[in-house]
Amino acid sequence: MTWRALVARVLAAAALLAGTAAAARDGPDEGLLLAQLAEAARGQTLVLAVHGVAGHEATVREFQRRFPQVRVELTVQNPSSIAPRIVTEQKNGVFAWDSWWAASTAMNNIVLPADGFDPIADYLVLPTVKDPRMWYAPDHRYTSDAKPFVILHSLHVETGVIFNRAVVRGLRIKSAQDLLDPRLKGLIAIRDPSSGTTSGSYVLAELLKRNGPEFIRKLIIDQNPAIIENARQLNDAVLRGDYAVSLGSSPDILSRCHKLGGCRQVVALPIAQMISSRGVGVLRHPPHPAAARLWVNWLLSREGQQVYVREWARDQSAGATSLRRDVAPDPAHVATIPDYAHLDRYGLYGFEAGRADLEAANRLVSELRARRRNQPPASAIVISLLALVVVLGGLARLVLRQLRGRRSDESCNAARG
Amino acid sequence: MTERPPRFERVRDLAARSRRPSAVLVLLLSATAAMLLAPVAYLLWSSFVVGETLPHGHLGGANWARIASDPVLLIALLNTVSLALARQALALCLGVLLAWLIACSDLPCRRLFEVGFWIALFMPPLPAILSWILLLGGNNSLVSRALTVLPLAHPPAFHIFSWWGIVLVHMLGATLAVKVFLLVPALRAIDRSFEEAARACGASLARTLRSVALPLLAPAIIVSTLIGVVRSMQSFEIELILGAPAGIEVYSTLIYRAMTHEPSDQGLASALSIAFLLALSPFVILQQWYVRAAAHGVISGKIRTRRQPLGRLKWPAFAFVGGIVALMTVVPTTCLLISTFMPLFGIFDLPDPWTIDNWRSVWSRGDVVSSLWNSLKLGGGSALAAMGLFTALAYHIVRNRSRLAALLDFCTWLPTLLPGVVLSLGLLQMFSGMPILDRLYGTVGSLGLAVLFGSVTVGVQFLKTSIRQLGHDLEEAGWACGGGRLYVLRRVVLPLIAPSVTVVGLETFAAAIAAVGVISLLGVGSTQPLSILQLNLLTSGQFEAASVVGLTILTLTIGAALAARWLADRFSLEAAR
Repeated sequence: MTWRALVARVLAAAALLAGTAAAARDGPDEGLLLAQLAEAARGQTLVLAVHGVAGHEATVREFQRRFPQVRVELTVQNPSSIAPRIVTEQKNGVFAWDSWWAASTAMNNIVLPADGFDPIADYLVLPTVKDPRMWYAPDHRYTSDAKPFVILHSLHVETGVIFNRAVVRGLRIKSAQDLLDPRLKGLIAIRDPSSGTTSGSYVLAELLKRNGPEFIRKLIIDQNPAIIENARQLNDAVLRGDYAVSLGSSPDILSRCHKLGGCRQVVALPIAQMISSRGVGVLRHPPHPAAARLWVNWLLSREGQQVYVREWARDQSAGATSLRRDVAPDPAHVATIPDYAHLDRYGLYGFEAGRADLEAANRLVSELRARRRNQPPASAIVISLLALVVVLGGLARLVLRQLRGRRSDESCNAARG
Repeated sequence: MTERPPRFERVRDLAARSRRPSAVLVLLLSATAAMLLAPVAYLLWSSFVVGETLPHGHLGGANWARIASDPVLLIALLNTVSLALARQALALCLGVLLAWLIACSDLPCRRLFEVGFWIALFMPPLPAILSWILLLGGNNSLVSRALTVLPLAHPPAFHIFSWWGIVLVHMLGATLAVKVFLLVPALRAIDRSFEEAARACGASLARTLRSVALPLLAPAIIVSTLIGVVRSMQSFEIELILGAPAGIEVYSTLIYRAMTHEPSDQGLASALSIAFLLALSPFVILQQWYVRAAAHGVISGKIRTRRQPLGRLKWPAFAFVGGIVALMTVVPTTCLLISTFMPLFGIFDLPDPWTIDNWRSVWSRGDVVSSLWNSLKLGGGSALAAMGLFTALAYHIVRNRSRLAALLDFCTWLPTLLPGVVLSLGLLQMFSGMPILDRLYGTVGSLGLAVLFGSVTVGVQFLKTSIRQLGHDLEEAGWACGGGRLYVLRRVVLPLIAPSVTVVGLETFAAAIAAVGVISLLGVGSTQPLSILQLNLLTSGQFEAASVVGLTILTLTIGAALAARWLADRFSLEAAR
């Protein structure tokens, strides 16, 4: 038996014990409470936004099967895309959403400062959900201590750096400093950090914190990395060998590729490790508060978290874990569970605590990117100038012809008159 | 019993009445102008809000000062203008030639090629970009791999993530197709006897094209060039995906970043958009002045439509046009089709690289069927509304010489002068701020209205060109024979412009099916059309599922293109009878 399997079994046994104790104490009441919440929400439509990851949608489908009396209107969108939209809508007096479930950075850094959430405590009903003793890392239950509006239910360790060994033969990357190897010039791709809430921002913030601004300057200016907006496009570029290293990749595509028997030369590097956190919140003035209450309580209940862990493990290689003590993690994901007692040793970019680092990195990268904006090539400028001359010449000719025609019409009319 | 006026006086009276604004027109104009001006007025106001929106921010000119002083914006301006000009110059030269070959020559398979260009016009841009990345993206692209087979030490690799890559993808996307789409009907309406006279006088084919066809086509060329320049300047998705890795920024991507940056900078985005609008307005005014001043009656009661023989150039021209159509349609569609059967998009080095699981998983999702239904409702409703509304607007703008009509004509340009995502913000403000319209927010109706906003410029300008090409003599003959204004409109004008009206309906349908930017802030879960579902799948990295949805959208638009083609042919036939 491997150590990983052993740890998994120990955790599962602990979860079983904790679950039995919790069920003995609160279980029957919680089922009843959920039934009451469902009855109160009967006929309502839960307007829900979730992160565009397979595990989320499958969990919501299970919720829908469990509570058919509540309709679910689901919008699947990346947090960095939907966050500005929610803020814009709310600024314009439109309160269209009930709840949002996603990775917590955009929730904490964009919507929370704009007062976009209702206090989550107003919606928590189940005793085991409210009781901090039932949860790991009770000091990190919310993304922000000052504004406890986004509650977290899962944390795992993630690295956003992947490396294709086939692109530069003989190159080994053991630390962040190796990213400055001249052989990697033009062969590094970074997920666009300009929105401030992508995995590219987290990796750069972590690299800045550990290696200083000079390292970032060399990385952005000297290594001339490609900046790619779409996370999947970034992953594919490295998997296909267009680039050697990507910063800000999500590991799920690499994991799928490994499962399908491909991408043998591509590995995740343990550089810039950070905490990936998933949380849920109720948005300000939800149009269907009873449905939102049912959803939040079910998701954070033992049943909801078990569904989440099961569904998340289907397609992901990391993160099928719950902060609930009575929910066992998926055995294959145990290695990605952080040391809950010492979370501060990781990058915490989904929390208020990591926001300053993130902002500092974004400021620096924006300044550096402004220096390397490319102008059009000379051939393009020549063609454009030629086109401009032709267009303006053509327009002038048409105008002159028009004026001349009008003048001759007038002289004809004058002659006739 | 009063005596009827003499026939010529009746015609003169009706002609004079048609040039004056009627009460219905005033009402129509006022409502449309108000609707079109509302989002622009909001953006103008918010361009003076510095920092957060009010009451957190304050009023001032800082956003405008940044536009004047920021060197990044200057480079973005250079990129925007150079990309737009180069694309338009290349597309215009090629487009006129291709349109003439299809509309006026005896090119083999010309109808098939025309349908090919229509399909290219409606190709959804996002999957098409993915296809081109698969083909030309980097050292391990399909083309690069194929070139390594050739006996070359260093096979020439064209990088799609570059300035010329952006130009290429645009050209093989909608830029060239829209030229052919707009110029072919205009060329068909030209009386061939002019060209025949030129040939009879000894002019060569090239000279006939340059000296006869081009001047007759000038209004359509000006309109299509202007629309092309405006669209090029606000083009967004291709620059974002292909330009960002190479550090190429244009105005629309800067506006997008200003809106999505944390914290979002709506004031700067609005100021950039208004600056854009002001910069493009002189072109619009110039175009309006030109088409109003010029006479364009080229369809008369004695039209001849015989085709020019190409002679020895027939088969080379066939290969040339066929190659371009294949590059624009067959190649990206094949790549898209292939990608729907791959377990991992673009990864060929797998032991088993083919699967049908993508199709299974996509069609087992509940939201695909509802999104498909939403798309059909949105496309059908928008197309019908566009056909009626845009025809009424175009007819009144052309036939009325009042200043009100000129103002409305200018207003129809406003939505196109704003990038889609900014227009979406303006529409959101309009829907949330106007008492009656706020009930529409979150419904398919609001999306339909947004699509109409996004399509009004092209639709009205295209119909205006067709109506201007109708000689007054046709309507006057109808009036002289005792027909009333509505009767002549229904029996004479509408049958003649029916192909153009159908084209506008189809264009709006396709725009609705593929719409992303303009409805991005308006669609919520229950009203989400396929295009937004596809965008969400793409942004969340589910390229395989997005390819299946993209192919579904493509199938819909190809079906619509074929149906419209058939309808257009039928209308043309009936009009000829």
